[in-house]
Amino acid sequence: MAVEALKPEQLYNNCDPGEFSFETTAELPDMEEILGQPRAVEALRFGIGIRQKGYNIFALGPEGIGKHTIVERFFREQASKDPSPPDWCYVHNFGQSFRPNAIQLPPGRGIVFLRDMEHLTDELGTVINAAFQSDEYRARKQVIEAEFKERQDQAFEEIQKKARDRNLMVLRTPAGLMFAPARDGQVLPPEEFEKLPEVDKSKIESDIVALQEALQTALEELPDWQRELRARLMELNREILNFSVGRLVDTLRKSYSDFPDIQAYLNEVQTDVVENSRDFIEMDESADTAGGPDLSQLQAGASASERLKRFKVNLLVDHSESKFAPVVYEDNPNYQNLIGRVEQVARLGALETDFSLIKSGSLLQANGGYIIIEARDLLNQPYAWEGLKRALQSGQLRIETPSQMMNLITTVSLEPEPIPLEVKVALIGDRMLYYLLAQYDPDFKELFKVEADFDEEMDREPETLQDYANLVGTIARKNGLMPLDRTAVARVIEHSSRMVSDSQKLSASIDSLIDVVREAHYWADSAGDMVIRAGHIDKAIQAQIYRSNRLQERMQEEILRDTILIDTQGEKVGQINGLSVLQLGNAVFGKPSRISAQVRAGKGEVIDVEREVDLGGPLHSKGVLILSGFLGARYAVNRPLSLSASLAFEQSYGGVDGDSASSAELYSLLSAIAEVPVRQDLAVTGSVNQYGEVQAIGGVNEKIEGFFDLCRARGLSGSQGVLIPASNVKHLMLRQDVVEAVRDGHFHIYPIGTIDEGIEILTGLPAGSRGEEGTYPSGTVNRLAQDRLDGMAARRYSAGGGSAESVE
Amino acid sequence: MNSPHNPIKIKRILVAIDASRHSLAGLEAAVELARTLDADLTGLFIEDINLLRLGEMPISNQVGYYSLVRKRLSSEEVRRQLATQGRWAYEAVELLSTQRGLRWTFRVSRGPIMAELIRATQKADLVILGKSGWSDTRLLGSTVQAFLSQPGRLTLVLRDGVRLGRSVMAVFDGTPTGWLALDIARELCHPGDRPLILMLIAESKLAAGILQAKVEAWVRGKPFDLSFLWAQDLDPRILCNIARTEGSGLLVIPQESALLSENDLSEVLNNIDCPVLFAGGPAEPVS
Repeated sequence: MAVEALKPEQLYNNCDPGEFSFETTAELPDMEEILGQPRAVEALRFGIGIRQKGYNIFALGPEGIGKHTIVERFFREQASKDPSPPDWCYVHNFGQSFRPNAIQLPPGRGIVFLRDMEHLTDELGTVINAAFQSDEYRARKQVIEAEFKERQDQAFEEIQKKARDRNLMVLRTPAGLMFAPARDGQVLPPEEFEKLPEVDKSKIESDIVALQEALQTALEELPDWQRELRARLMELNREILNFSVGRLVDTLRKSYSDFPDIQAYLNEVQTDVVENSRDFIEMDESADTAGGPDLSQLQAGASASERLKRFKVNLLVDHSESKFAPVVYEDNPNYQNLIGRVEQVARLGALETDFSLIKSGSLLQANGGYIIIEARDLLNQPYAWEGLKRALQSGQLRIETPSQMMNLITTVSLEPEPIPLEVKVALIGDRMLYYLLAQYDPDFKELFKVEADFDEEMDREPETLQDYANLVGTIARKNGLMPLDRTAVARVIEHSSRMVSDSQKLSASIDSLIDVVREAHYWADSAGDMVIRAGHIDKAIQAQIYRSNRLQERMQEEILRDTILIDTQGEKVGQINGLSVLQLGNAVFGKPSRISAQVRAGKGEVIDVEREVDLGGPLHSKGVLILSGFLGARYAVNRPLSLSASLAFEQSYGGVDGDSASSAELYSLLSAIAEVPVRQDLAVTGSVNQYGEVQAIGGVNEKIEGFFDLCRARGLSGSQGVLIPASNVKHLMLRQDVVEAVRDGHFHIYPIGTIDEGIEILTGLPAGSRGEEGTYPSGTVNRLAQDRLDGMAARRYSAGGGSAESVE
Repeated sequence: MNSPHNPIKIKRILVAIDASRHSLAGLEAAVELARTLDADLTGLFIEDINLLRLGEMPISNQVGYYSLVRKRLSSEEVRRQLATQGRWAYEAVELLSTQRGLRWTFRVSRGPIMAELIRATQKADLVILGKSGWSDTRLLGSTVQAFLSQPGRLTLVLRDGVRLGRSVMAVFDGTPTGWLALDIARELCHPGDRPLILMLIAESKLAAGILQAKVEAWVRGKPFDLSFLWAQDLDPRILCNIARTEGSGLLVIPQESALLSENDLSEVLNNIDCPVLFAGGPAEPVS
């Protein structure tokens, strides 16, 4: 039974605007549900609900289908039910300053603690200064100092007295003390000293030596006395300060009685304040600085501020303004942004750091909540993936540099106390990334157990259409665009089907949808309209195509100018029009290619010219090898296939892949074997299996339109058309001009199930079925092919090529 | 009422500098006052002839303060040490004076310290000295002690760690040097509006009232921020405490009023938190 060309209704799945009850999308409610992603939605609900370790989420799917928006929406919904997590701060560790202590506080208490400590530091300054200026302190200090001064003065006075008794005087130099013979309060001039009798000079010399020894003895004791003085003064400081400082700190202790960490910290603060009370002594602020600040004073002030820095609180996470759990999107997930960092400052040529320079990363900000990270961005950043895994595996956040993490440096830096981490992570990425990670990273599956797989298409069913209209309306509203009337919505739906090349499906690519509506808004606005109509949608689609189809036009131009040889009329033996699809940037278009076959007697091989020169991909080669299988099964069951054939994509310079041309190649091969011409006004697409069944291919719409455009440019003859796999009919969403041409009988599209059906249309001859005796009827293509092959086999045998007998 | 001497104008300030911490504090104060009073500044460094002489003797051994090592100090070494100190002192004076845009000179003299100091300060309106020279002892330096015993000078003494402050406190006992101290104090309060605290030394409250009335009559028509305190005598410890309590940035004491003994002076200078100006300028008869 001859194959009938498809009817216009089969070429395009119209969406009838009459099925909608609204005038414009302004009347429609917001689309609250997630459309067409039941699997992903279920996975997200599960992933968010389950609180076990490792149940983080990987949202996978193609770009532009709203993964991020949907994940964030689910996270925010859940976060609004979760309590605000605790605040975290770092404080100085008085025992080991390189290991700052982390302190957890209820949400909002962190900032209070920070201010309390600032206030305490200010108060301590006042209290300590007051204590040191008190009469009691000064009096007791003076007593202690006077005691030591007396001891010191007494020692020196004894020496000075001995010196005076011996007519010697003591002279001070920058480095020490000297003794000299004196007269009238002045050193004896050297010339007079020389005039002294030797006895006197010796006496002076021995006196000086004796005094120097006495001085040495006295000076030897000085360091011990000074140490003792310092110890006594320190004890005095403790006595004076313990009470006043203790009272201040006690006030804070009471406020934080429920926080053992803070209690311990305040104990250390009190001890440190008393031991290092000098740090609180104010600089002289009363000095007149009218002539400009004095550098030394500024330096003193800066160092005082530095000294008191250890009592500050570095509040890393502050939830004083938040009521719910945080949802963080880290758009630059490098290691430091994610994990946190310890900054350094240059001081006197060296890099220094302390606990106040610890900065939080987004993981800490999201602690107790949710974080969204683009997987590709994460993997592009050195050590970021390793850092994230480490944090999730250990369940705690250790803020360290990558080099510390990798044990690459051994210099002393900070080792902040780790902070417990409980965060739900959602990675967003494409499928390939997910599969690669799952394949090659053994930790991945342990840490990202929830796979939220987003579909790129959804079923186009009557009940879906209204939801889709709601979605389009919501998009228009949220993007500040004009409402769409029902014709525009219908056109959007049709375009959506076209985007996924399936008349029974709709695209889930929200981004593409938004682009079309946004551009239609532009055209509507340019035309002065207040509502987007079908014409504006068409204009937007056409404009998109026009902007990107320069190459398509150039290619067609070269065909029309016969630079690229494609016949669209007549008949040729061993030559057929194949169809391929090119995707370059945003442009996807079909391009006719001439496929030719040449046969001669040989050993049963079909040479793929493309493969021979490495221009054919593996799928194309597979298709060609299948042809050999088909030929062998059909024509060489009882004798060797004594054929040598070569197949070529003419004027193809950029490589060929895919098997969608294999049916065309088989037709050209059969034409060449049977020496039957095939129609050049037809183009063919479809892959074929070893049984001669034609199988579905991709890009069917673009392929048909590519050949249609060429034929129309040359003038439609009325006989032109395309043979497509019958299984591709459901994918047809052809341009309206193609549909109209078919409706007018100027163009034809044939759904082909088998090679025999196709060859009949292409040659006008019956294909022929094998009879009971194993031969094909005369006048059929198969018979002609069989006879030619038999002839080749016989010639080859007679030429000494081997046995032509049956192999049975 | 007029004070019993001509008004004091400080136009020449001399600061003795030996590069010790105390004398550097003196230099800072000198620079500040020279700027405030638009006075000329002279830095003076004295090469101690005694040290030079000692260096020429075979017995010139120095015992280090901290090392306790006995070391022969040659004449050449003494000269080199003094030259280094002098250069250091010159650079300090040059730096600070240039920064503040002062008119300044620097002199180096050689001889006995006291003699050279007295000679060099003949033409100075104000002499500024560090409390003591090299060494960490809290004793008043012998040079300062000797210099303060010289009559008829304005001498500002301060130790390392104290700076000139905003308010001025003066001791007033009604003697000519008391008036001098008052006049100096007022001069230092001007220009600007620095407050002056006058500590009246009088045996009774009545006597103090009389002194206060005299002072108030004297300041009439010369408005400035003046307040009074009264004490029966000048106990150094009380004086220091009051100066501290009142936040005094400069204490002016009549030098020749016999209010303070030598030991008291030493105690004041060791314990007070502000510079002390001893007012003993050339007293002239009441006109």
